[in-house]
Amino acid sequence: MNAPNFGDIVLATAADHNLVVQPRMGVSRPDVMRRELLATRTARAHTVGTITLDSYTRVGDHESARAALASGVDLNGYPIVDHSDAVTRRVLDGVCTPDFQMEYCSSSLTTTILMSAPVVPSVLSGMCWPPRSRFEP
Amino acid sequence: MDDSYSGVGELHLVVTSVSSDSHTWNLVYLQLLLEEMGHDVTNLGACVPEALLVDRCRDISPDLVVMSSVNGHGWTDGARAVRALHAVPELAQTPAIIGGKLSIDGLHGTELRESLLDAGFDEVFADDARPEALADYLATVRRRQAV
Repeated sequence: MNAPNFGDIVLATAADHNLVVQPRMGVSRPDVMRRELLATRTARAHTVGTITLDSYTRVGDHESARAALASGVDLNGYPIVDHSDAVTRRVLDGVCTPDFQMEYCSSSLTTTILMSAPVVPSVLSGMCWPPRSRFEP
Repeated sequence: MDDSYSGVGELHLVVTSVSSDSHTWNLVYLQLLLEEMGHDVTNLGACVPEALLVDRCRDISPDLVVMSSVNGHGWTDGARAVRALHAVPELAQTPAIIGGKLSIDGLHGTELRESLLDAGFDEVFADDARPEALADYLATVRRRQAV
C-alpha cells in the first residue's frame, strides 16, 4: 500500500483546522461492513474507516464467534479470525485509497488476530477502548 | 448518602458482567447504587468466564446474582452464564437478574426477554429501567427471604 501514513494524514488535516472523523463501525456482516466502509469513504468529511473487532474475537472465544456466524446472529464487531481470508479480502477490495485509511480497532490485538488479518491496515490500534480488567494488563 | 432506598437492603449480591463484555463503568455504577441501597456487593468485574462465576458463587452463596452487560452480547452470553450457574446443584435456586444493552440492535423485544427468562433469569431490566425498579425488585427478594 503506497498510501500516505495514517498519522501524516491526521496531522495534515489538523494543520488545516479540520477534524478527522472515524466512525466506530461495530459490524459483523461482510456485506454491511463493505457498504459502510464505502459510505464512510464518500462522506463529506475527512474520514477514516474502521474494522472494529467483535468481543468474542477479542477475548479469544472463537467458538462463540463461529456459532453466531453459523446461526446468523449479529455480533458487535467484525470477527476477522472466523471470517475467511477470501471474505475479508472482498470486503476490503479497493476500499483503501491514498485519501482513505483503515484501522483495525480492538483493545487486544493478539498475534492470533494479526496473523489472521488478510489485509494489513494503515494502523493497528489497541487504544480505542478503555480499561480491561481481567485478561489484559 | 442518599437514604431514599433505605430499608430495602441487607442482601448479599454478586455483581458481574458476562464473559465477552469488558465494560466496567456499568459495574461500578451498579455497585455504588446497590451499596447505597444498603446491600453488600461482591463485584466480579468484567469478562467473567462462567467457571469463575460459578466458583465465586459457590464460595459466597449470594442472595442474588446481578448481571450487567452493555456490549450487545448479553442476551447470548447471559443465557449461557445463568444456565451454568443453575446447573450446579447448590446454586440451582440462586436467583439471578440481568440488565443493560443486551442486544446488538438495542431493542428489548418480548422475544429477547422471554429467551432470558427461559434460560433461568428471574427478571430482565431494559437499559432504560429506573433505579427504583431495581430497588422494588430487591425488596421483593428480601420479603421472600423473610417468609
